[in-house]
Amino acid sequence: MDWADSEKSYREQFIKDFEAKYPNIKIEYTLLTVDQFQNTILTAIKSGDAPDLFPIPATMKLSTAVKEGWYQPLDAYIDDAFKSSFVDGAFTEGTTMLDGKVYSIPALAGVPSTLVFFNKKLFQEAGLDSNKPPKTYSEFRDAAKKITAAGKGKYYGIIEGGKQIGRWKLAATEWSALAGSGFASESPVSLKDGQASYDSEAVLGVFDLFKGLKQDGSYHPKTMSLSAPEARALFAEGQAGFIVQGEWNVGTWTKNNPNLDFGVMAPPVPDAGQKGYLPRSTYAPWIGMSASTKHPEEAAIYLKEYFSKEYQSVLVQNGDRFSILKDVNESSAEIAQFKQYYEIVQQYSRLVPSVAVRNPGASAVMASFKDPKPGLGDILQGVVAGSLKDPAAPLKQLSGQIDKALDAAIDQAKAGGAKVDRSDFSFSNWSPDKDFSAEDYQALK
Amino acid sequence: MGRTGESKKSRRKVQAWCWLFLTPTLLLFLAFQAWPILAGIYYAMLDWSGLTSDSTFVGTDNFVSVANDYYFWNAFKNSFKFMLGVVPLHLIVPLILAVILNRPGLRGASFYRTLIFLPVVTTTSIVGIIMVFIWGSDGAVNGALQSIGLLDAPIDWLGDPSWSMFTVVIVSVWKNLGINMVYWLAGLQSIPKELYEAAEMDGARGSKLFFRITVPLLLPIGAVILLLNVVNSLKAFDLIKTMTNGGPFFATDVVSTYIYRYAFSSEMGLPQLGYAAAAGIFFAVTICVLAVAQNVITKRIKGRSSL
Amino acid sequence: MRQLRKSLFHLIMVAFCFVWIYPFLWMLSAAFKTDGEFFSNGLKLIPDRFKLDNFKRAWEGANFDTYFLNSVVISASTILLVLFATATCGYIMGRHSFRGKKIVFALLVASMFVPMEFAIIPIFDLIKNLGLMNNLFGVILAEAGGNHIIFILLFATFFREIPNELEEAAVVDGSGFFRTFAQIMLPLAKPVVGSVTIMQFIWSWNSFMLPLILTLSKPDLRPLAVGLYALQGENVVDWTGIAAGGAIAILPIVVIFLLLQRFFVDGVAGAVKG
Repeated sequence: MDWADSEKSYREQFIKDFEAKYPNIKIEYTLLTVDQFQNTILTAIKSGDAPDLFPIPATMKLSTAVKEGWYQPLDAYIDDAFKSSFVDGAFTEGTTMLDGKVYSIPALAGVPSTLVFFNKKLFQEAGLDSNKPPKTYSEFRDAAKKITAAGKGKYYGIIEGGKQIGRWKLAATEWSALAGSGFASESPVSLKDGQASYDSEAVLGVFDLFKGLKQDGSYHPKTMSLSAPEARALFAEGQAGFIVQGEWNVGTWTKNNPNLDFGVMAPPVPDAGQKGYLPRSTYAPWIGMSASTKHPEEAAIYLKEYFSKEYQSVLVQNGDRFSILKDVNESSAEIAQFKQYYEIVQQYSRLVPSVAVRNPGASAVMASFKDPKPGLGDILQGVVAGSLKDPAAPLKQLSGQIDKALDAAIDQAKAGGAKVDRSDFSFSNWSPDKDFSAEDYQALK
Repeated sequence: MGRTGESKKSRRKVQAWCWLFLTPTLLLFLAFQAWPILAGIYYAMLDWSGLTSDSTFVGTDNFVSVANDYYFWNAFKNSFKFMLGVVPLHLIVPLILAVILNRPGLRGASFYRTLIFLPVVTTTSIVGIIMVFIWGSDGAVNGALQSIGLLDAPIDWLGDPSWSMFTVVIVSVWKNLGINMVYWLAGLQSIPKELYEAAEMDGARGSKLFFRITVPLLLPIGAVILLLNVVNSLKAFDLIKTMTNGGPFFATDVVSTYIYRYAFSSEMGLPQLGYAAAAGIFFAVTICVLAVAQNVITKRIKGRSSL
Repeated sequence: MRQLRKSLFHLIMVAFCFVWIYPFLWMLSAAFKTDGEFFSNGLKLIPDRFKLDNFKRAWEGANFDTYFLNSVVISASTILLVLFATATCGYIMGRHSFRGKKIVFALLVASMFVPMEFAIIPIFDLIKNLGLMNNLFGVILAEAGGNHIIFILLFATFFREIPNELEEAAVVDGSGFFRTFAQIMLPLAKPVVGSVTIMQFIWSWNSFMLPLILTLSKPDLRPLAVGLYALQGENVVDWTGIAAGGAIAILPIVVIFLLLQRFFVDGVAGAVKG
């Protein structure tokens, strides 16, 4: 059971092949949306009906799930050869491992999913050079404006799935990181100094950019009533010049919209220049084996086949995702834009430090952290919808609320026996232009 | 129901029958309504994500937070706005249609009834998308309004915070009108034909007939349909979730989408099922208080009670 | 003149109905379109080319052949159960007074206002403790347990309107309490039975979360709605598949509606002597 739906057609083939190869194993695969999954999984586990293999909800930490008795260690079922086929860092204490035991396997190489795709044909019609996509906020705004003007109501500068708060939040977090905010999705505060500085210049800059795009009329007028898949389909129909999205689109567009001539570029940076990097996080835990499974051997075989080079390279070839396996991305990527996406990611993103790796006890904090609402995504949506004229005040308020929420969560975690401190959330020796390494974690101790 | 001539014994027998007839409903109610609600009240006093087994008892903290949350009251207000927009249309328009389509001897009545009913069964997620096209800036609604000169520039019906609630109301009316028509039709069947015949002989026609016979006799069932629509519109969820997801920026955020957001989705921490349950209970209690208050006031005014 | 007015009426009605069901027609036509056409062809109703792939995909993706029967069994049983419970309850609420009536009534009405978004866990616990997990009967019971106070009220109002003479005549004929209800009263309530059936049918037929959770380890028992939801993913949505699946899935509802139409027009009320 999981929610990896862009993979659906490949997965179905995979299951067919798998069942042909192992005729005595039958796979029952259920695909849900994230909400439905969250809604179902607890009852499933409680009734002893948990699937043999299931992923961890995105906002949950592994230690919480293990403490709840959801998963069992995989060490007995996987060998070193299997483990070593993954990229370095895939199995790290605090994220996928606990107390030296492997509990979970990451789904994919975690790369930023807020790169910008652009329509080359519309670029041409607007007199823009698709070999030189805009680099800075002003250039980006300008390009979007030109495309809108050239479209005369037929197409617009930029389109987004405006209904989806999560996408707005991701854009605000990652783009502001590129401007030096020090934010990453994993932590509610800046990794630089541990402050909830949502009203910093870097963040305000991003908000001003989006506000400007709105004022220019560059947003596709349907933006606010679309979900991300709908926005993506309209982009593919040539209705907008830009869209902020992730790598999985490459596969979908290549397959469904052969006529779409699109390019991919890094997110724009402030006019004053790039001040940070897109955050790439330590590999997030994904699938694990149920503690109550009656078929551990069979489940292990499934994992082996699923994370085999053969199947993973199918995913990479088709532009569905970047694999967590070593070398597969380099050797199997075929689609030009997919390769390019990978290159941009290498150039513009860096591995950011993880609070959970530094101090596994910190996951208790996130287990009791309560999101203040309206959050970052809500505010950005409000700005683009035109409901919020000035984002500065709500952002300032949000900073204060997150600050308080984090302190409260830390207190609660401490009361529960966790050894954790607010200082665990800031990394004094982090320089954003370098991958944060194991040695860096060592140095902090 | 004053019935005369009943002996004590048979009255007791009737009482027993009454409770027997009540049993199926009571059993289902206790198991699937009362018990979940009690559990919900308990959850509402927990600090609990709904995902993990650890929870802390926090008493009324959740209720206090709900009552202090600006966005809860925003959702509360929106729920009532939605209700006030939907309910009158759901009562009046389907009644008129039902009366027209209930005329004996009207050719094609069953055909029209079916057509009007069709939106009820149209898949909600598809409705969400088609409405984006119909109500979009270049959509049919803007096109029509502009061509008859009612609008100078297109309105972004769903994306503009000041119009999105209106649009959601209209679409909801479209979708649920058919089922209300069915209720009215059922109600019309309870009016004896003889009454119409008698009134017609007295020379009443058309609208006079409608207001003299139909309306008064439909009042009891009308009250039920009213209640039904009030409740359903206060609890509306699916259509709003698919069409706007409560946005843009909480403009169409109603209590059910508010609860859903806290119960099942979170951006960073775990979901907060306890808080969501508190919001639900709080909402229900507030409505009940309002309903009772309203009832008391009307009784005072009318000076008599009904049912 | 009269003829002209009639034609005009029909003209207006047809035009109105066309506009009214336009989104429905659009859904039907989308079921034949390609995914690209779904978005590019905008509001046009006639697809470039009639494709049946969507139906095939929906049929297989939603496991129509296995799930259809489950849906029929679940919906039919739920309707019977709900009709029985609400008709009996509505009958006594409408025509009799008994001790505790007001309290029961107030409880039922008040519970209606509680949003039940969080109710899934207690219901699940209950079904599990009854030993009915992964059992069609468990699903039916849980589905029938929804809030039906409206149906009860519909029955109650209807029964209250029925003149006493009818009942008294039956009692004089020696008809007992139950027979009076089943043979005299219930048949009169056909319009209410019809609307309750339709409403409950739509509800059970589309219900998704409860059946899914109650059949977690027995996918063979799932109804159609669960299968249809599989077409609607988190990041990728198979719109044309949903349209096709939706088109097939609502057929039974439309058929039921057409069949029950008679209940609303058959002039049942004529039997009631005013």
